[in-house]
Amino acid sequence: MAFIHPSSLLPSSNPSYSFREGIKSSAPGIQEHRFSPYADNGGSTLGIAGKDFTIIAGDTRQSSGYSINTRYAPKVFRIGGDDDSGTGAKIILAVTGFAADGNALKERLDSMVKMYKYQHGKDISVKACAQRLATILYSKRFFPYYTQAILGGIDEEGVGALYSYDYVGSYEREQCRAVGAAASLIMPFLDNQVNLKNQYVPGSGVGHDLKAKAAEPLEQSHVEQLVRDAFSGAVERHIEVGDGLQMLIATKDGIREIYTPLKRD
Amino acid sequence: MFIARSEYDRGINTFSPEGRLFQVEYSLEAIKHGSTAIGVRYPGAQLLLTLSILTRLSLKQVATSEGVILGVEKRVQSTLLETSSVEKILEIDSHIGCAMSGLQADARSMIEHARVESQSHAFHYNEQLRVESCTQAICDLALRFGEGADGEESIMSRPFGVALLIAGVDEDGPQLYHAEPSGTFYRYDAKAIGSGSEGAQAELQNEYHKSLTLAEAETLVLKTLKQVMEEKLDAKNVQLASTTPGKGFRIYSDEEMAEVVGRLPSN
Amino acid sequence: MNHFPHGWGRPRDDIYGPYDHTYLSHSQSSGPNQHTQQPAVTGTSVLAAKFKDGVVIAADNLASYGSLARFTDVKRLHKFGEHAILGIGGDVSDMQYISRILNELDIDENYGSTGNTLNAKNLHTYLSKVMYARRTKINPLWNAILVAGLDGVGRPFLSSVDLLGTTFSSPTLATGYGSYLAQPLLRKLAETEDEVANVTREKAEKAVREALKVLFYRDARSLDRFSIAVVTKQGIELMEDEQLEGQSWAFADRIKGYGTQVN
Repeated sequence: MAFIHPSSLLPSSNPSYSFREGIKSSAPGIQEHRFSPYADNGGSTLGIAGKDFTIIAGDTRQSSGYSINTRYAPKVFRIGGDDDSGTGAKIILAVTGFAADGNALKERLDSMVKMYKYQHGKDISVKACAQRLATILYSKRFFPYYTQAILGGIDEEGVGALYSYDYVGSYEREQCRAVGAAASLIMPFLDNQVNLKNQYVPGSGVGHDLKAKAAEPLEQSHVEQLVRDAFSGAVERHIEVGDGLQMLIATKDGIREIYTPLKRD
Repeated sequence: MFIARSEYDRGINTFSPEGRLFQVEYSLEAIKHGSTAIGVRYPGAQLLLTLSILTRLSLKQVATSEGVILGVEKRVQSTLLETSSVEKILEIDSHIGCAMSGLQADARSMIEHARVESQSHAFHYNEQLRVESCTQAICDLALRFGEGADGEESIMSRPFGVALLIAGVDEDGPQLYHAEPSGTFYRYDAKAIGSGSEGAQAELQNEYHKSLTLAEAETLVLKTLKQVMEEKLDAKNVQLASTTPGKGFRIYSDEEMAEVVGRLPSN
Repeated sequence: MNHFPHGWGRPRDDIYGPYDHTYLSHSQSSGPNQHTQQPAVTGTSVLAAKFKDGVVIAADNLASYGSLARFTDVKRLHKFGEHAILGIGGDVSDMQYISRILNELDIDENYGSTGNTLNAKNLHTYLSKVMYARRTKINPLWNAILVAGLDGVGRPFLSSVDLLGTTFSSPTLATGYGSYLAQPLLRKLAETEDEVANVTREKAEKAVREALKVLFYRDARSLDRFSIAVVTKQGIELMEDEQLEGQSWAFADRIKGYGTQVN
């Protein structure tokens, strides 16, 4: 008995028309796309660690395809705060990629950081939180959170700390990192301006004799301006970046937020 | 006494009208039959603080002069017994260890749990588990006996019959905890458990002071054990372990035991 | 999120290339169990806009089966409690399932002494967890939902959630085809949250009704009968049998093949 699956009577995933079109497919069988549990909601984030501060920033646009879902959907979060607004938090998490996974990851890490304080009677360190985030990501190794995360705060020595991750939990402590849609635009800028890559001491020689400029700790106000410049540059060249810039700055006194508008085109 | 209590001995988690859980109370009795175990935290700091002024030691080095000494009696029943196989002090992690008194076999599952918890914490958080958290993790196990609540699986038919002295070091320095089968725990400067605990605790109360050194603490533990032990104390029927910021938890070797026992005034 | 609910949640061909069907078993009657991979009867756009005292939300009353206008009296706005309402696009059977679980939730809440105190914000959080949990089980509820009403402190609330569990909010929102056609028009009302304070109920309602008309002109799976609701502190005003007024089809008689004119 020939079995006619109901799906063959249903509209295909392609735009359908009022006349019936024969199904054209090189592969035999049922014409169907499987459900994909992932989406890319665009946007970009970056983090820079300083001598006694860490800045993590992200644009606030959320998009799907060519559509802008909203002009204000934060990608940078306070972790382990006392209330909804995150007061009392000391750790910053930024996530790009699939927004729903990003939110789920944020909520999971936040609740674990709160549980840590109840169980061990002290605030979690950035180092411990960084490892915990890695194990959370790896625990979904075969159905990953489709997010690229960066985590920042102040370490136990009072120095700015920044960690960056891949989808499945590989991580590393770094001085600076750009992540997301415009990472390839922003990262070279940070390499040059933060780590002084390809900058040489003028007149120090020719060819191999050129002396590379040594990277030294940057002032907080200088880093804030670098972040603004990085994003206004990314906005010009990437369609998924724009609308607003959210900057969270962790110091020994806690986390401060600065919002600046970006171009909305 | 047993006849009066029997009605409330049936259900293991049944309160008596006076609000007591008899099986838990009996489990505390089991410990009173156990071999004596003693823990002493020696602050060391005060004594060395004066030293530090003289020798210009840094404060960090001063802090490392404190620690915890654990000691147990082994109750060697037979001359044919290989005394090294009596293990009443065990390592939980490189920075935490414990001494036990009571049903030794019960301690194995508690220590197994603590070891897993400690490794799990290091895996998830890239840092060592705190001593209090470790003690709490052990005590979380203590009341998981009886029928078990709806949907929750009970893992034990009766309470543990063993008490632990947990010695460890973390960012707050060396600490000594006492954990009971009732699931309660307290922190001590010096604590004795087991059959000789009453006499030993009184001795500790008298002898303990805030400027004990490592060597003095070792001697205090052995001297106290000696007073309450039935057998004559020697290097084979006692065991010591230390917990210090520098070396973490360490069980004394035979040579070290011989050295410390040799220091005791003979009588 | 585009015009075709059938394409929602699928990898985009322009990014990932066409799906390789050789991976699919030739017959679905054998092989592993499969969950819903496509919607059947669908509702089209839902539109909503915040104004200074509340929110307007609207959706037409059509349920389509592919290109067939299958059911023409389907109500896609659902009240929840005193100050929350949701508009659902996408699969209609999944919509009815969501409606049922929210009804059960409402009944459960009303058993308590305080009644149903869940506000629109609570409802949106709850729905987003349901939607995300279902996508994580690879068994999605094939819908795009707008939640409108008031939040815990009585401020206007408007937020969306889709079959992937993606959430976002904005002064104005539109799902499906409406995200292309209606949202750019609605954004003229208020570009930012601050501008919502200048929007009156009349302005918001007029803009939504106009946007529905534009959709009826250009979205082939839309209808001129619709439901519209206004949520304010006074409660929910829900009108379920509205007719699009003031249409102009004067251009139609100049188009060959339109209506009764064949050649």
